[in-house]
Amino acid sequence: MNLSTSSFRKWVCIWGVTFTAFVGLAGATTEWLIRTKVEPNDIFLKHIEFFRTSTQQNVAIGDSIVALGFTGQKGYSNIAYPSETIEIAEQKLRIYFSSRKMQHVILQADIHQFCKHRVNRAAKSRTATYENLRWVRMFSPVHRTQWLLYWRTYFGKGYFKPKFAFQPDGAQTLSGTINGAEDNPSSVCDPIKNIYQSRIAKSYLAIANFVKAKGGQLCLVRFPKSHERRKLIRARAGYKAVEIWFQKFAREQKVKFIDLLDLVENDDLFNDHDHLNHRGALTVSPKIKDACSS
Amino acid sequence: MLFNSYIFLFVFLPISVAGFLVCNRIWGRQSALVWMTSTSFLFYGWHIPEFVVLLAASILVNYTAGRALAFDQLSSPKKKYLLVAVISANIGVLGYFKYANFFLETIALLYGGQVTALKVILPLGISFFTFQQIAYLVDCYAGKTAGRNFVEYAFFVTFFPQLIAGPIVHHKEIIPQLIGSNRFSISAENFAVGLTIFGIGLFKKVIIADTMGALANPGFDSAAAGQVLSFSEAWITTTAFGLEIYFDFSAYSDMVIGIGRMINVNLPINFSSPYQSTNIIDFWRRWHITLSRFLRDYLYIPLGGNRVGKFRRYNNLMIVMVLGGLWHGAGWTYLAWGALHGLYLIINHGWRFIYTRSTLLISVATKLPNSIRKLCCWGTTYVAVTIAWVFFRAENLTAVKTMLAAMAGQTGFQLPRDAMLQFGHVWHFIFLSGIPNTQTIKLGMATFGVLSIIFIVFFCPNTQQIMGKYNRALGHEPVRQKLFGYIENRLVWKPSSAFAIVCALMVVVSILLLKSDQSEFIYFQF
Repeated sequence: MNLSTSSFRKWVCIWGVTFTAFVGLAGATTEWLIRTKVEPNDIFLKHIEFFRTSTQQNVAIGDSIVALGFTGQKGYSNIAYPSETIEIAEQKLRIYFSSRKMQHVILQADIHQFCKHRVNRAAKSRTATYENLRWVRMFSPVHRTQWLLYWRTYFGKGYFKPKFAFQPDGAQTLSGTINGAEDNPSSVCDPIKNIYQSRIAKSYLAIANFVKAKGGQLCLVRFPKSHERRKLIRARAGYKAVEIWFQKFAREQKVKFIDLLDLVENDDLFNDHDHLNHRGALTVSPKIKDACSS
Repeated sequence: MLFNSYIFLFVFLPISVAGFLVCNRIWGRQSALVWMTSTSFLFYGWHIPEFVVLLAASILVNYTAGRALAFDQLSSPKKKYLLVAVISANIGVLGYFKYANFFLETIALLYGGQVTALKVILPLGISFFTFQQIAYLVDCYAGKTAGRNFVEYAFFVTFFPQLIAGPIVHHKEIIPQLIGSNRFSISAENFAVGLTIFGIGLFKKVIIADTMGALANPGFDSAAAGQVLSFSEAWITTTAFGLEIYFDFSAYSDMVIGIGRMINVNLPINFSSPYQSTNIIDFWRRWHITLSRFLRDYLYIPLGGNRVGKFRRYNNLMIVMVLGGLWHGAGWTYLAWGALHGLYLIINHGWRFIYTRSTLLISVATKLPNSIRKLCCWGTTYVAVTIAWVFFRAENLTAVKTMLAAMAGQTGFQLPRDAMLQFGHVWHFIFLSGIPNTQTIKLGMATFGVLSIIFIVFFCPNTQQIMGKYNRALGHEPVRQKLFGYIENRLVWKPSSAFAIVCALMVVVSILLLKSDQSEFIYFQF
């Protein structure tokens, strides 16, 4: 092999051409994938778009329990998104009501908000995610970490299918049923012991103060669960303490705490032990709305 | 600025390297050095520009003092006072920024009461550039170096690849390389080799180190939050961290050497397959080589080294390792990590002393096949180093206790969930009996990932071996026997088209998989 300087020059040139070609190709095809396949089917982007354009002054917010469980109520937007913590809800409420008037805020008050995995989860600001998408889509914060996942999904399945049906009021619904499946005890988590000093408690308080300052009405709602799940929850140590905290918090802050844990007797209204299905959401939501606005 | 960020890879690195080579070609060596020093200051002040002032002041003071110490204008006692004063000033600045709060907390712990923490932000790389300059001052005083011109000195201290996380370069290694009119002419060979080494480093960081970090972090976070980990979770967490820091540091060392090579500067090797060591003494000859060298030359030997009797020698070893631990961070966990390694070294030296004098031990050892003997030595070293990482990584001593208790099996020998499914309830019956599965990490996948990376660590050639005869990192010695000669020969770098394409693709893949919230190199915090 020729190891002269010209050979090394050739090596550098080949490296440069390969690098440029592949970075260019990877960039162009990823951009194509995002624009034509991902974005049209991306529930999160629909959620962001809805969040940005909704004009309602009444909102429901929380994690997947609210996102799936509250829909079809005139004058209300559902701005909840799965897996979001109360700290993120606080940030979202501040962003949402920075340019809108506030009336009613339905805020999830489920005990699992105080579970270790939720408390430990970093409350990274999602503000960046709600910024406008960049002209080069792949560099948008919402896409930048997902490139590989997009390609894996595209080559694995060949298509992108939304997990939820996105409703006009922002709710994300599912039409499944429990089908008599056994409840998994390990999916019920344990709340932390130090509730009163936790970041979550501070966020609830910050939300209450924010809603008061904006002249709105806060309503804490504990959403219904299946029979099996209720039994599991009640058998778990630590749940009573959180329940008492919510009641005390509601009293002190002079806000409503609507406990609907036992509301639904018919398990057919659940998609799984935790989440209502679309039918269940349509059944329960008017009761939540009435209880909160009465 | 991080090496694994878009701004560095696409803007800073190309501009600084190209600018350096162009300046050298048009205006000569001195202007190229000025260019690189300026860009290094920009690199340093990228996030907190105020610290540029600190770095500049440090260089100015130490350079001036070095000149005074190197020349004969001062009397010998005055030089000694000056040396003590300037070293004290360096240590004082380092102590203030790095150890002030630790000191206050310790006082509060000893005497009770509350202390208000000082609002001090640790300047990046302060431990590195302080040590480099102390070595320079000592050598000026000892007459081992003459004060060079200011630009060369400033380049030696600030050269951006090594500024923030080492290696702790010695002035004798760098400054002589800056002399010579054609020193920085564009060299396609150096550029190609540098690019390859840099690419290997980037790949290691993005693909391996960050993946291992993602496996290690949940376990340590759980331990810090007081959660119970099972035996297998604790071991996988700790092993994953051991691999994360291994590849993180190895990657950084490669990238530093690669960038240096692109502009014809050879930097010292800082990392040489340390997990292949068969004893702890050997480990410290391969891990953070330049720190070990600094501590040996400027602390261990001045303390008397091994010429002062066994007890004093072991005492010196312990002092050096405890200070080495504290150099990594101001905290009890780092101190404990250093002390543990000090203890390991003392045991290792003690064992050698006993072994060489015991006919019984020698006869037992010689009866064992060489491979078994090596495996035992390697296994013991690896486990000892891995256990020590718990102290290094854990948030506090309580988390250390939680993790070590789990590693000792005090919380039960929960097998990975996937293994449980494979082997059924027999394993459950034998190993578990009612210990909760914390589900902190997906253990099945984690085990597979960790074992794969361990295979790479032990059976794949390292960067120096891949680069073969083109590797010119200072102090490089081939330290490892070849296990798979044929495969290794195939992997040895050549300036061929195939290698050009593979190396380019490695960089492309690494760039595509860069996270938006880039993880910084672990050694950046020191």
